[in-house]
Parts: sequence; structure tokens; C-alpha cells
Amino acid sequence: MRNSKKVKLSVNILILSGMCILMLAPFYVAICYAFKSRTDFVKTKLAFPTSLYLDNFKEAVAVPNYFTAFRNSVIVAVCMVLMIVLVSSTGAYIITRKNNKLYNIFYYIFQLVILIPFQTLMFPLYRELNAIHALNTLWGLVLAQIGMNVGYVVFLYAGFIKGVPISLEEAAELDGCNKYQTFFHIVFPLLKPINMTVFVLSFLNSWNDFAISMIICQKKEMRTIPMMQYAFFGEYSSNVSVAFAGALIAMVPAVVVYFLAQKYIVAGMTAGAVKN
Amino acid sequence: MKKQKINLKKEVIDFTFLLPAFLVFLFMILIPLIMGVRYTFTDWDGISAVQNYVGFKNFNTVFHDKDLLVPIKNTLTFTVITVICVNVIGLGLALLVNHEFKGINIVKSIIFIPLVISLVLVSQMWMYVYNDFFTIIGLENPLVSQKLVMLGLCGMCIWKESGLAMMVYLAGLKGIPTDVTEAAVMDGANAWQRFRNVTIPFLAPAFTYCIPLWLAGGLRMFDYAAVATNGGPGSASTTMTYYIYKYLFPYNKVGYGQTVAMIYLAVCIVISTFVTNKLRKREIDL
Repeated sequence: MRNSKKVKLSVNILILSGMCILMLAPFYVAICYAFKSRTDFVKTKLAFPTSLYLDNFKEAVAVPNYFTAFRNSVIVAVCMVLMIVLVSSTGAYIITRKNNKLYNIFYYIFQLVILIPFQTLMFPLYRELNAIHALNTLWGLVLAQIGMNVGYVVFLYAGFIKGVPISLEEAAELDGCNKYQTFFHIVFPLLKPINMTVFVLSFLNSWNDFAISMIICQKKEMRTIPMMQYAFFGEYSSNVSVAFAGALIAMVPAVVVYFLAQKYIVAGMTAGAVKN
Repeated sequence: MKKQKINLKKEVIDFTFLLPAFLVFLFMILIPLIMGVRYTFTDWDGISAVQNYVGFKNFNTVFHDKDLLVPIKNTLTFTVITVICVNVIGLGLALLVNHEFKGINIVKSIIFIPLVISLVLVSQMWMYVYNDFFTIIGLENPLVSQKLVMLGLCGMCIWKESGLAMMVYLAGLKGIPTDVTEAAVMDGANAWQRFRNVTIPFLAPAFTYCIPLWLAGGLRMFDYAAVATNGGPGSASTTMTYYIYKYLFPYNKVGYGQTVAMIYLAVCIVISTFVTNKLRKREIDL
């Protein structure tokens, strides 16, 4: 009995180790190529790099518009995250607390929005943003990203707010707080776990977004990081090492956020999947 | 009278909470949706000032268009394969990591990490994995083969997203009360019976969450095809969303492209809602 348990555990660990190697293998390709000089790359391809060649990183950062793209991505992601937290938390709060027919219809509509493929609305959206001079602007991109994410985020908030006791709010209102004070002083601080989740998920969605920026920010100086990366591999197809070096630098913020906030990502993404 | 006024004021204040979200919905979803419906009745090229009204001609073209069969087939292939593989692998991994041993958290982190990488980088890394590594070990690069290209894209998606499915199923597994499992052991249930009659029913909400998630994701798939293959070779990896994109932007056939888009939008919502409702009903039965 004990022996069979040990065997089972060993098999278990063996499979998981294999999985880990499989998960890391593509990163090996990126890292290996990024640290190879051009001659090394042609000669040795996937062999383990024998020396660390850092010029690719220098060259990647020196590409015109690389820093502009980085800055654009930071601005867009920060604005998008702050706005979506405000917009969705207030919306989800009132939907949950009113819980009447009108507000439930809105809740239902927001849930349908989650299912919309962006490409089906992108052309009219492109025309609309063009008409209000928001095309090739960062705020236009922020608005479009919020539009595509608001359904899911409202859904996340509503699920959490349902579990927040209402008694504190009633007490606050008896004490003379108005509705806004009640929300921002009493309710909002209680939403901290879900706020963190939304911060992290929205940041990653915005930072990694390609499909929306590709339509809205086509001008070179308005590109975000994923657009830049895409162009990199086109323009530098003869020098893949530089392209991978640029991609690795761009990956850093996402990976840092991931390691700092892993538990919030998991909590948010698995919310609603457990039987109560 | 006065009371009514106070009530109205209260209702207005309440609505201001929803207003920002409503405005976002109005300007980013509803107005484009209405504009999109209008384009379907025109032969507009997206650039010129002329928009001729053509009635239902575009719809007629769409329903008789044999070119659409390829993207439909590709999208269905991608969706079916990724839904099945991501969920089976995710559940399998969840069962494996649902034990406490040293290093388990590192294992979970590693399996989950592809999820935070952009689809652009995932596509580019895999282009070189397929191109350089696969050829070394004597396999064909799937991205240049008409037959295998969709499988190649499925591989990228499964690699990227199985970790998320694992986390969702793991959360479900952790929610199973130990006394239920113990009772099943006491009753002499074997491993398969325990899995079928205890684990699966408790995981029902996880299935209801995961299956529609990847279903909708598969129907929406755009980035892999756009970055890794440009829908090629030929049109062998053109998915519905990439097909729509090609007609709206490079081909400048907005009337036709938007008609396909609006029909597809409706199809996506109907399929996803239908499957979710079916799963919810089953969840109660289990």
C-alpha cells in the first residue's frame, strides 16, 4: 500500500516535470536567440549560447520609436486600469444593490458584451473614433479597450459585491452619508481583493493587447509594445536576435506583475467556478 | 407630490453610478453596432463618400458564398480542438497538482506563466519553435503546411491556456469536502467511481465556467492567425474573425465584410448562450 503510493507520487512528479519543461521550452528559444550574435545565430541556431552577447538588447532599445512605444503602452495601461476600476465598480455596485428589472437587464447586456468578437464591431468603431478625432490617439485606444473589457469586469465585481454585507451601508446612511460617500468611504475599501484582481487582469489585457491597437493606433509614433513587436519581426526578419531581445524587454513588466500578484490573478480568474 | 420628487431624485442619483459604464457601452458597443447594421445594407468600400443602398443583397451574397466555408471549417476545427484539449489537459494537471509536496507552487507558477505573455510573442516564439526545433527532430513545420496549420495554431493556444484551466479545476477540487471523499472510500468506491460520482459532480460549476470560456475564445480567435500565418498558407488558417478583418481593411469591401460580421456576432452570442444554458441545466441534474 505504501509502496504503491510512493510509485504514484513519483509518476506524478515525473509527468509534472515533463510538463514544466514543455512550458519553458519556447522561452528557451526566445532567450537563446536574444543572447546570440548574428554569426553565432546562423552557425549554432538552438545550441546553448556559450557567451552572453548583449548588443542585441542595445540595438533593440536604440530602434527609433521603441521608447515611444514603451511609454505609450504604460500610459494606456495605467489610464485604462484606473478608469475601468472606477467605471465597473460603481456600475456593478448599483446593479447588485438595486437588483430590480431595469438594472438586471443592464447586467444581462454586460454579460452579452463579453461574447462579442472585437472584429465584428471594429470597423464602425474605427469610423466613429475617426469622426471624433480619437483615431491614432492614446485616449481613443483607452476607451476602446475599456469597451471591450467592461463586460467581464462588471461581471467580476458583481460576483464579489453580492457577498458584501449591506448592513454597513445602511448604518452609514443613517449617519447621514450620502450615496457617493457611502460608496467611496465604506464600500470601495471593502472591495480591495477584487480591485487587486481587476487591476492585474486589466493591466495584462491592456499591456498585451494587439487586435485593438492594431486598428486604432496604426501611426508609427502611436504604436504600443505588441504592435512594435509585430513590426519588429517583420522589419528585422533577417536579424531575429534583435527582435527577440526587444520582445524580452517588453515582457518584463507583465512577468513582474505576474509574480507580484499571482494570487489575485488566480482568484479573479477562478471566481465563479466553485460550488457554494 | 413631494415624496415622488424625492424618489425621483434618489433614482437619478442611483443611476449616476451606472452612468459611466452605460456611456462606455453606448459609445463603444451600441453605436458601432447600429452603424454596423446600417453598413450591411450598402455596397460601401469604406473610403469613398458614396454609400449606395442595396437592400438585402449582401445577405444574399453571404448565404451563397462558398468562400466562407473555409473560415467556418477552420474556426470550428480550432474551437473544438482547443475546448477539448485545454479542458482535458487542464483537468488532468489539476488532479496531478492537487497534492502537497515540495516545489508544487513552483510547478503551478511555471505551468501558468505562458498566460501572461502577449499573443504576439507567443505566436512569434512558436513560429521559431516550429521552424527551427521541429525540423531538427525531423518533424514538418506545421505552419507552412495546408493540412497541419490549424493544428499548429491549436498547439500554441493549448500551450498558452492549459494553465488557466488547471487553476480553475484546481479551485474546484479544493472545494470538495474531505468527508465526502472519505465516505466514498468507506463505501468501497474505487478510484474511477470516486472520480465519476464525487469529483465530476463537484466540478460541475468549473465545467460550466471553462467550456463556454474557451468556446467563446475559440470563436473569437484572431491574433494567432494574424501574427503567425496571416491566415495562410493560402487561406488554410483564415478564421472567421480574420476573414472579416481582410474584407473590412485590406480588401475595402465594407458592405459585404460588415454583413458577415453582424451575422457572425449573432451566431457567437447564440452558440455561447445556448451552451452555457445547457451546462447550467446539467449542473442542477448532477
